[in-house]
Amino acid sequence: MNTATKTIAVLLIIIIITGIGAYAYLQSTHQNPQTTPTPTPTLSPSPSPSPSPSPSPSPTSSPSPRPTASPTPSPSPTPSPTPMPSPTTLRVATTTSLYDTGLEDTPETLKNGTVIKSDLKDAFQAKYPWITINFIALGTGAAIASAQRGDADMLLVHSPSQELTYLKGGYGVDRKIVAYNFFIIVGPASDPAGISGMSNVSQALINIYNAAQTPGSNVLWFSRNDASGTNTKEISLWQAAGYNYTQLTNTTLNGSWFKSTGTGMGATLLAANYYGSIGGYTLSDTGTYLAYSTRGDIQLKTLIQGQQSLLNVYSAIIDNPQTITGTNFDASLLFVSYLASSEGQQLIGNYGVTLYSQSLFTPIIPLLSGAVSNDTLLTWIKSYAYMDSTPAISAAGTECPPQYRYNAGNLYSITYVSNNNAQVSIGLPNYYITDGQKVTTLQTAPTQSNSKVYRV
Amino acid sequence: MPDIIVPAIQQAIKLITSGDPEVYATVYRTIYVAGLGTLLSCLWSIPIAVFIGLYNFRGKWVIKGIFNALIGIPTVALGLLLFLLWSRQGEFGSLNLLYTLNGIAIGQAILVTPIIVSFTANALGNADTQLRDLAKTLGASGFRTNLRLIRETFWSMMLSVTAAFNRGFGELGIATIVGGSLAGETRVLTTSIALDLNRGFFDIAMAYGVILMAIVIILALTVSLIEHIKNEDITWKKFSFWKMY
Repeated sequence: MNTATKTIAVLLIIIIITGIGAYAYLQSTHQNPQTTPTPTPTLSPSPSPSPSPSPSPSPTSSPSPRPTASPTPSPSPTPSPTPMPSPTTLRVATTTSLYDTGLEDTPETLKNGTVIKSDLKDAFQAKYPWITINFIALGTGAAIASAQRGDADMLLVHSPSQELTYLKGGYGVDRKIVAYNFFIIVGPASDPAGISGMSNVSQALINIYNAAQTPGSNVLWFSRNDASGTNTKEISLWQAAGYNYTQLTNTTLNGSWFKSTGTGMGATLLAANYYGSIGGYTLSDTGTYLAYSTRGDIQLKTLIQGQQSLLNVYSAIIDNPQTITGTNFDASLLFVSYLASSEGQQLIGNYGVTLYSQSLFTPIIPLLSGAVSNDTLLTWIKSYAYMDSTPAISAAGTECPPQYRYNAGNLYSITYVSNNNAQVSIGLPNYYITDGQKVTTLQTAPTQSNSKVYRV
Repeated sequence: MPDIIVPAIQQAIKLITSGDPEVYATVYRTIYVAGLGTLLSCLWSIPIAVFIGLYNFRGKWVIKGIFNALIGIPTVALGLLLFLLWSRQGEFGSLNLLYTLNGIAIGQAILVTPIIVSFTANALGNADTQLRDLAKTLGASGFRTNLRLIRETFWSMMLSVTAAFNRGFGELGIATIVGGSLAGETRVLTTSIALDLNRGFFDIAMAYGVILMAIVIILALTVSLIEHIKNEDITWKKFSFWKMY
């Protein structure tokens, strides 16, 4: 081939690749336009479907950002559009376990391609278009360090002991518990340590430890060992079972059955699944496990679930504007209020139902405000995540000791109100054991039905 | 900037002198996977480079272009591909290469192949064609001619091997995805940095980064020094500068 032909061939390849890229880009923006914050609201001529953006499966998307004021066809209290505040960015430092579930910024996408904007980012930005919310996902330790430096405006994490340290250090204010679910202990289907269905978590860990010591056993335990919220819970579980976690991680002392991965929850689940011939046991949060399991990426089974020691509570903490400069307190307070509002709580409770046929998180405000009653669960949550003014973890305290509240407004008096008269029941967390059976998980007799309906 | 680097260097010295066996083991593992990966890759890359560099064939420009492009392959993409191939459901799952050091080494061997091929082929292609013709007229066979040319461009090849080693030494994607960063087994320097970043121990993470860079610099300087000595034939006593006085 002479030079001319070669040049033409290269140019053609470049043009084709650029063309494919541009086509893909145009396709994606046509389906999901970003709701970019604009300084002046645009009144859409067609009536918007509903003033409140409840997560409804609407595959068609509106091309213009929704104004916060209702459009003119429906009666609105303000005859002229109120000017929107100037655009601002909110950075939320969150943990990888929470982020990987997708609740924060991944819309649920069904197999047929319909996108349900049921994630926090889409819903919040639709309601408050001038705020762009970004989630920074790190391990809990790194997330807290990041917020402490002011690189993030608020925290959304699940580690009460570390949250207490953060408040105590004066870095955080206005802690608000928003949701809970349960950790689960998962492992190979063959369960060589025989812990399936045990209710005593400490005894199960002792069984795993003893089984791993016997020569020739293939019992392995995978630990994240990365100071994340999940890891903090795991350390407390081993401690309750009578073992020193630091000693366990010392492979020269213990032999190599205790594997520290140092990676996120998904990667640890993959390691627990694919290592060696059968893999091993690990502690996982529900969301990540379900996400990987329903996609078929792992074949681990849920072996222990729903025990008090496995409770997992998610809270938001805002950076203290008095000690950390340059953070966005107002938008943070708005977001935390949204999380605690009826709409936010419903969104949290509904996330995952489309993809996994069960919710990944249980909203907490209905339980805390008495709209739903479950005394056992409430006691568990308070013993694990409430703080008194010492400050220390204490069931007799509140979600945020009074000295750490700052300009909170009515944040701590929010109660739960359902949209209409739909039945609101708190599901006991239902998890799939992978043969498809839903089981109840609390030991005490449930006071509510086992449904987890929030859709209204 | 200095208040980040200086504590990092101090922390790095502390890590090295602490005698912590895990630190030494991590360094050893990193050198092992990068070194084994580079050596393995040389086995098949050098012949490919010789073929591409010294022979003309139709579509040579396409092959060269593709190898040049693959130099920049994202390590996470390659790591993911290997993970899918080597997992239990994958085609090569029976090799049991996941979560092992040898798996990382093979992954890195694949990763650095384009580097060695491209640089070596380039060096060979630029080698003196007159030398080639001379060797041929003096009666050397094709194979021995090529060997002679490889000897001539040896230091360019060493450059490509050094670059390949550095790429493997400092890459994160394959070590994380294929190796899994298991403590005591597959944790290398880069995954240690990522782990300490995730934990929030930024000073220790920077210290590992300093250790990584120090090793890379020492090795590169050593290679460069050897090349310098070989090329200029310096003996330690031969300082004509001193002879002047």
